[in-house]
Amino acid sequence: MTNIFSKLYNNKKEELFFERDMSPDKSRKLKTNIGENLRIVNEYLSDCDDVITRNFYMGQGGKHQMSLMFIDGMVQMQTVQDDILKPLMLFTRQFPLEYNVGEKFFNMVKEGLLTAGDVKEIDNFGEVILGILSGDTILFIDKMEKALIISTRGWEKRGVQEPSTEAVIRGPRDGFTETYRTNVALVRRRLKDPNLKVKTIKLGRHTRTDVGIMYIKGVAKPSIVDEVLKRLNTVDISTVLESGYIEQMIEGDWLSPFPQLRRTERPDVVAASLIEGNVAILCDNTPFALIAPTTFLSLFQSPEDYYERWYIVSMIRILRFIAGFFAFTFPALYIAMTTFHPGMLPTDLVLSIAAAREGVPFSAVVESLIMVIALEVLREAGVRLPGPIGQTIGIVGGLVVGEAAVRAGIVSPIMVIVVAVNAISSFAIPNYSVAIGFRLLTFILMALAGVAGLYGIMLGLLGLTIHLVTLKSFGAHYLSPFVSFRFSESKDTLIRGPMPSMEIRPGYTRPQDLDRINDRRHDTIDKAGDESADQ
Amino acid sequence: MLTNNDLITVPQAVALIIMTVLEVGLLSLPREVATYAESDGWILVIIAWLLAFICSLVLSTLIRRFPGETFIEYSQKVIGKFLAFAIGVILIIHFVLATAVVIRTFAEVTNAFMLPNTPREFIIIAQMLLTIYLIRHGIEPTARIAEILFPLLLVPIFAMYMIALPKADFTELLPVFNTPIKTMAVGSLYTMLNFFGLEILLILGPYLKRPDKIYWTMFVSVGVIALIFLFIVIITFSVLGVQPAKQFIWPGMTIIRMITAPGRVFERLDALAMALWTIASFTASNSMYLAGALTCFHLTKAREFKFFITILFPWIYFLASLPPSIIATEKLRHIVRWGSVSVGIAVPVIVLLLSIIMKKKGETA
Repeated sequence: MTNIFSKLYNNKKEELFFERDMSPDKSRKLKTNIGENLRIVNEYLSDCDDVITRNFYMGQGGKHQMSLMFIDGMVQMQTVQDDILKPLMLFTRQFPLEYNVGEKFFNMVKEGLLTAGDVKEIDNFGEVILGILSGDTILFIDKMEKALIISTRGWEKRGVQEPSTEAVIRGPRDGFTETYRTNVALVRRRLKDPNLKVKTIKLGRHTRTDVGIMYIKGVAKPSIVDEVLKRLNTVDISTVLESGYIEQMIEGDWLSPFPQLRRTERPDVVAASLIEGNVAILCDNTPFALIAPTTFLSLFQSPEDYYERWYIVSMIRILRFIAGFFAFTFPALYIAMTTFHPGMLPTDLVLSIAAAREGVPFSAVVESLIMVIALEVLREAGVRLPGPIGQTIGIVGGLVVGEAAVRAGIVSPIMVIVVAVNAISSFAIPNYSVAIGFRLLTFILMALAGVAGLYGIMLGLLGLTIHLVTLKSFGAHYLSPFVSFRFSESKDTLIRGPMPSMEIRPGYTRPQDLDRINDRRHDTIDKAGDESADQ
Repeated sequence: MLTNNDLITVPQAVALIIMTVLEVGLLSLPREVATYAESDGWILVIIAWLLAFICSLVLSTLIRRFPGETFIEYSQKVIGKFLAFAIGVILIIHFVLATAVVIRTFAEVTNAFMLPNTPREFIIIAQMLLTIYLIRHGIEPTARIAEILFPLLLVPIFAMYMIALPKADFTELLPVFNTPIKTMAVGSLYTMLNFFGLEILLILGPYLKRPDKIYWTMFVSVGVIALIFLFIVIITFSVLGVQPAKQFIWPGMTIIRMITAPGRVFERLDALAMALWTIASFTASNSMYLAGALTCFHLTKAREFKFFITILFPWIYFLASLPPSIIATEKLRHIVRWGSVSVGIAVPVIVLLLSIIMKKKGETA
């Protein structure tokens, strides 16, 4: 009786079980029968026409049934053919292999025959399916409750190119690509340090994207690393197509217009911030890495700041801050000055503004709003259009329409200058995320200036200061080092001090290893100079 | 106890005290000292400095004696529950009045110099909302704001007064010691009223990170304030003249209206000065409002202090709208100053003396 029941039970089709993260059940072990295994895998992957199953026999007389599974286009066919199929089928054809030796045979295949680089044993369907979907090749062997997973990942990908959003004049030209492993390697190449740790987790129920955390053990504060890991592990999201998904899920204050993680396309930036005690988050399928914690100041920095001489860099940094200030206040200041406080400007300027505004039908607020919105539309249109046409839009929109609008008397020429300065200033901010945040603030400040003039602007600025002062990025003050200021950190703020004088790393990450430069350089240089003088 | 357990560091405390006290004297101090002692006005500032220093010594000693305890807690030990409660209520009234006066004065100055047509109520409410937005974040962020805004306020003020320097005629400061001693004494007492704001330390005492450095903190704060006052009085006297300084209600502002930025970038700097004045007034109202809410919190031993911010809002708004004119506002300010002397000096002195006599101390001291 029991026999019959068990037969009935076995004949009943087992239901496929998926975990919440859309991966097949890991507790479901592989069967002994290869046909059974293939049937279950094919059930999971039914209607997936890109999955290729290659059945073959090996050994003299073809005694051993085997099966390869992989996805076309995600594996390197070269590896599959030369390192898996060729040794298994071709080289073993002449040898009489014993039949059904189990473990011994399995190990011979794994250790003696396969010439692929990375081979691991797996024993459950969860890993099988995940491996296939990630671009690995699975080798099933008959009569074995195990399978081999062979790393054959390789697909058409973009090469390492110069990053388009963070161009530098002096500095390395290589940028991240869409492949996670390539990106990790780009950073690793810069830090040949055994303490550089990489932890990879998978995020996204459907995408199962590789997300890696990089940090330097002994430099990064463990609590920050733990905090990043903790927040990443709490992320339960269906899709992770870009690091922006992760950024928005793990940042502390999602009401803030400011990014609380710094994003970069440059491996040298990641390497530099790792040394300063930051944690980098690399995400598959995107060239944008995230750096946490971040500060307001670091969003105004460019990697070039450390490659060029310090006088020039300091000047450029100050210019950037002035530009950053104008990027969100200039139209508001224009409104406040012309509408509420004309007495503050020099008389001649007031007269020329008044003369220029003569015949303009709108108030300064409406005029500014029209122009700023027109500019935003222009910017957006320029981004969407392909390169050559994008430039045309700039010329048509900027020059032709602007000129025509002024001639037609809809806007005053001074307004055109104001908006142009505003736009150019926002382009001088190195970080695009901050620049678009500032665009938004422009509108808020314009509204406040339209209501209460300079006082309105002050209200906006003070409110912004309050927000920034209370904002924290992974436990670090967003405005550091300006809050709880320490003089030793002032060398890398609005200015950048001479390299030999920057003896410590920035303190906002509370790095465990503070030394940046042990300044023995002068001694050696002086000694060398003395010696050469003696000779 | 508090939701935000962050403590105030020494530089933050210094910045907070300076910014709180500075707002009051910044604009009207030159007029007052000129009225009392003519060209000897700057000597009044120095004497007032010494008096304020003694006052700060009393406050510091109290905080050292009872570290980590609120003023209400240790005054209960010393003078009894009922009296301590009464003093607590007086403190709350004082801080509410002080906030109202600071905000009202700000609205008056803004109406006079920057936005003549904007309703006063709008300015008062906007300013209060900004303050509430900040102090709801807690004590440490309030101190952090003071720390950040401190250089942003002081550097431009110094720069602006330095621009006025070429117009200065230092003979205006002569003759020296021409005032009778009695006038001098009364005058310096009145001048010391300009240091009102120091009493927030009674409330902020338990939130200091380094109560052992309180003497140093107070010494630096009072010193910097006095130096700034001295600087402003001397510049105002020498640029404007002593007699005109008496006549303008805010002579500090008048000077700024007189000067032109080099290169004629700005015709007048008063709008810029108003922007700075906004900062000064904002920080002062922050600490006063916070001190008021904290006193309520200490008095009722409630779980959450943010609740009291909301409770105090209508009272502050009502009191700020109460005075019918600038003159009435100035009178109210005078009352608040005397209140400040009584709760900021008299009460701490009594509590300190009694605690010494009764040999009561804080647990950890």
